[in-house]
Amino acid sequence: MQRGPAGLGFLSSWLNVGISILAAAFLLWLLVLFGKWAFWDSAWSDAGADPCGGASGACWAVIGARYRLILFGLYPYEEQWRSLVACLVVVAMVAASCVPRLWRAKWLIGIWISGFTVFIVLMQGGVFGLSEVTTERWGGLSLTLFIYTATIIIGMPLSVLLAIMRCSDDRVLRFLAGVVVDFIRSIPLLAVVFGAAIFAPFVLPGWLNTDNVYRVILGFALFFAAYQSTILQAGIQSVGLGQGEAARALGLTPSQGWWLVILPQAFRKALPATINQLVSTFKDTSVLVIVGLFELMASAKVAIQTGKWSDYYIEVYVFVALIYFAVSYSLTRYGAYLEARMRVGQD
Amino acid sequence: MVVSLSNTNVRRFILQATAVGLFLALVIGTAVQVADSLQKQGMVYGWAFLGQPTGWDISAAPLAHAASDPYWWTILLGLLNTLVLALVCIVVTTILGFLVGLGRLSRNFVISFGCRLYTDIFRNVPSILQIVFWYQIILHLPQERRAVPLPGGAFISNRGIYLPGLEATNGNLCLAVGLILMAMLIAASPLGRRLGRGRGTVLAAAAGAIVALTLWFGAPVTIQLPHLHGFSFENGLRVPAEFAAVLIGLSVLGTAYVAEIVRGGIQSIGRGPVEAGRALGLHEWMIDWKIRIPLGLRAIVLPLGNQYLITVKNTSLGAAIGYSDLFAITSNSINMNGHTFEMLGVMVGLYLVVNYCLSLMINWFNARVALKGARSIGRQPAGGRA
Repeated sequence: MQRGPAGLGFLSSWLNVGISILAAAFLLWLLVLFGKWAFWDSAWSDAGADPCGGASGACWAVIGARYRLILFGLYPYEEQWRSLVACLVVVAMVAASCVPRLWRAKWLIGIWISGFTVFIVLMQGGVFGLSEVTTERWGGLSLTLFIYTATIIIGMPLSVLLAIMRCSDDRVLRFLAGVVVDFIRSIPLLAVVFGAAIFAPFVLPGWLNTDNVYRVILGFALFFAAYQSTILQAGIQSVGLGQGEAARALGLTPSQGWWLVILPQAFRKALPATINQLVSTFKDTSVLVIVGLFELMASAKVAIQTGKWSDYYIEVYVFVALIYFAVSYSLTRYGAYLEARMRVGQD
Repeated sequence: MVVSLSNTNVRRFILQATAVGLFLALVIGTAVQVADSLQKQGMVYGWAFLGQPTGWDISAAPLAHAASDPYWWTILLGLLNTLVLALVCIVVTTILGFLVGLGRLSRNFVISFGCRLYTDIFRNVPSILQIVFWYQIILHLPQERRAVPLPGGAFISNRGIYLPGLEATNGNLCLAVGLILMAMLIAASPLGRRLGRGRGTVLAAAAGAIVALTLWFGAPVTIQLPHLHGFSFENGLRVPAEFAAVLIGLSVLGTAYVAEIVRGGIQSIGRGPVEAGRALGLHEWMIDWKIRIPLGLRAIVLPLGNQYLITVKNTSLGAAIGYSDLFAITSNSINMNGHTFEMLGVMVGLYLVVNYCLSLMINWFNARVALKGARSIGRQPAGGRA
């Protein structure tokens, strides 16, 4: 709602002044409480048997002692630089996708496929003189990033396919895609992933069935595709019939029409919602701790399981929350910036 | 007719046939594979297990439960746990979310900043992290013997929260409920409609009668305060630690989402109605209460409904800390009795039914409040969406 004419709405009347002072005092009190806990009263170094020597605030020494476990899981200690570089590659890949100049289908696909390949080569090893590390030993943030990128690489094409099916004039295709999408959307992510993990061994051939991670990724990708396809569907529907007709009038084949005319515009229109979906997918990877994957949440849990550090669960969870927050918040802000940029000239 | 690939109808037929064929092949192939592996592993497909006792007890439920309960009853309790948790979450997040959302739009800079801080922080942290975090906090609270008293006679300990409970004392409760029902019936009947604004008087009279009855005969319900007896609490209502943790986690998060929905809805109304209000000389806060908020509410209904559907599905995250909801019961049953496909089917079916009923209600409500002929507000229906 609009501010008052003076602009400084919070000083407009005496009652408001009172409310402002009270609210400000409350916020300040919270800030001081947090500051005392996190900084002034905190301990940063491990004092041996009684870590932090009874500091009344946070005991950040637990992060110093356990951050490798939280970030890289049970990956071999001397090889953890590979995990680190692999994570940085993913970050660079996401950052590159945020540059509007690179928004060409071929470039984006190229960036993601090559980034993902580099990630796997670094993590898995077995070539270029790197020792082999199987997926069972992956964990922590690097496993979270692996699941996330794999989910998007599988899920995004699937969502495009589903969205095209749902927008086609063919009743049968529309119906089939609708059933799949609505079915997945009405059950929890946990149930989809769990169901996929249980079903896959019965359906998939043995060579695809080596590790639980792949089954879970398959379920997660299906889930992502179902949600993303409705976003793309809305984008396609907002493009307007004239575009498709113009494409046909110019003599483009249907697939050229989709690929060159409709989908690029649909993606542009669906961009803010897509970014929201990407953010919530990243946060949703934490659910996989329940089906037994050793991702970020699970490694946080393990980090506080030893007797010495079990009392410092708040510090560990705050640290993990900060990681999720950093990714999620920066992507959200980027989405808001894009939305504002797209709105220019439309009001 | 010449059959050639350049013919649109032929191409369409081939496309359809391929799609249907692939879909059927997937379904039938899965079924055959599943039947085959079931046979190989000596698993039996059948529904008789639903009547057999489970042999394991669930952690908490609003109704009586024991290890000797049959599977169908345990599953129903799981569903009940899911629904109760979702309902409480929905009520809490709606109330708090409206407060925070309106707070964000406040002209008071400090309040809107505080509310923005809240939504920004909690929307960007995964729900399961919040649930596990609050659960750890509760588990590290003192034991029951040294439970921390809360305002209003409640206590909190590492086994959960003890709230004052309500207990019906005598026939007065029936009388009071009867009076309320009668007053509501009169207010809703054609007679009440003719009374117009007088309907309020009818309800007020009923309320007065109940107060008089209470003063004369004693209260229809009494409040039972929890108190420590030996090592545990007596009386009152115990909210188990798992329930409390999931409730707090999902509510903190849900409030942030509802607040954003409320803010977006109210901001989405056009400049026209507000300027009309100004032209009529309404005071700025009259414009808020009579124009912005009522119009915004219409735009809020559908996204809010979607948020409710998400809440129902999110209750499954309680499985992470051992809350016995539908998902937890299902996965436990599969571990125990090996009836994998039957149990998966039951769980998925129940989630579908719950979701479908809820989205029917949302769409019905939306159709009722939508402005007639207003295209911009009736966006897409909430059918099974989230």
